[in-house]
Amino acid sequence: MSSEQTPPSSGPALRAGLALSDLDLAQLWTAYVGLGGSMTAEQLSEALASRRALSGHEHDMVAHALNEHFLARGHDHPVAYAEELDAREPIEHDVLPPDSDHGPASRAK
Amino acid sequence: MPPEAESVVPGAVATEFVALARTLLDATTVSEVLDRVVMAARAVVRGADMVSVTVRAPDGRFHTPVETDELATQLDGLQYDLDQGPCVEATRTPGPGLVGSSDLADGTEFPEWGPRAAEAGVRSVYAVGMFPDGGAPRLGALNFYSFSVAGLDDIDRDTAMVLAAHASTALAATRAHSVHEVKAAQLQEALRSRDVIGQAKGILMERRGITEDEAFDVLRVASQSLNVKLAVVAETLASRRADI
Repeated sequence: MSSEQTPPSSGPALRAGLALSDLDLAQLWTAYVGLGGSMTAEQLSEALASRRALSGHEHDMVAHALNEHFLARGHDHPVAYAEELDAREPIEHDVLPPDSDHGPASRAK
Repeated sequence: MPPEAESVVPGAVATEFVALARTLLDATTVSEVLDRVVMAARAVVRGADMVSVTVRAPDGRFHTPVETDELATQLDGLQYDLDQGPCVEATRTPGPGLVGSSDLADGTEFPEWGPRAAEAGVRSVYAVGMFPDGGAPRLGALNFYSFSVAGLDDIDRDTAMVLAAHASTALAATRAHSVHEVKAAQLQEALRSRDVIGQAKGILMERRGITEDEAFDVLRVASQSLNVKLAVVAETLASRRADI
């Protein structure tokens, strides 16, 4: 868990979790709020679409809301938490342009 | 008030529809809506000796939840078994969704089911699909049986269609209400869970001197390790505060 921003793979990881569940966005938001989350449904939608960066803590709350849904169906926490995301390469379409301050090129320097 | 307004007396059918609309406003379940529609149907469709409702389940199978007579249920069931008859066809027919026969014994419209229904005493029938403007397959159908050949006239058929439209609207409203209730219950449960998790986070913050985010992480890791919901971990922690 971290208050720092998650890498770009956060959005795709959460998006994939939602797609694999039988939840809709409103149900996910309700579950997330039940865990103490404070984003609006619209902000959650933006995070899933990778249009809003999440802190590690925010990511973990959404991931855990999804994982509790999967747990009830016999699956063992398939959605990655923030600490697991850190070790992963961002998915290609979410990689920032090379000249970006936060892009792969700048990280390689 | 204009003098002619005092002399206006609505007809029996109009009075029945007004009464139906009032009772449908109070109906809160699908079952109540269907019960009231069937009772009204018997009153306003003058040629109908029996009335029933066919409902299509999510798995595609049909059943008859409401009827005025046991014979109607039996004849509906025979249609479901044969996959033939006005109730079944009405749910598959686009447009007004009106399907029927003025003389079942000749078997023109329903070669297998018609003569068997006639043997049971029913000579004419009409079924109207519910949700008139919806595409097939429809939710179900309203079924009107008569013991007479050509027992249901043009007025009966028109009345049946208006009644089906009333039923469709009431059912749609009831279903929307049910969905709303489920969402409200889910949100209420989420708020309760949020409250318990808040209490548990407060305990951890106090005991361990950690931040709120760190307290959530402690609960989240415990939930993940134990394979139990985070709210259950939080509730245990909050309820056994003195023991921990």
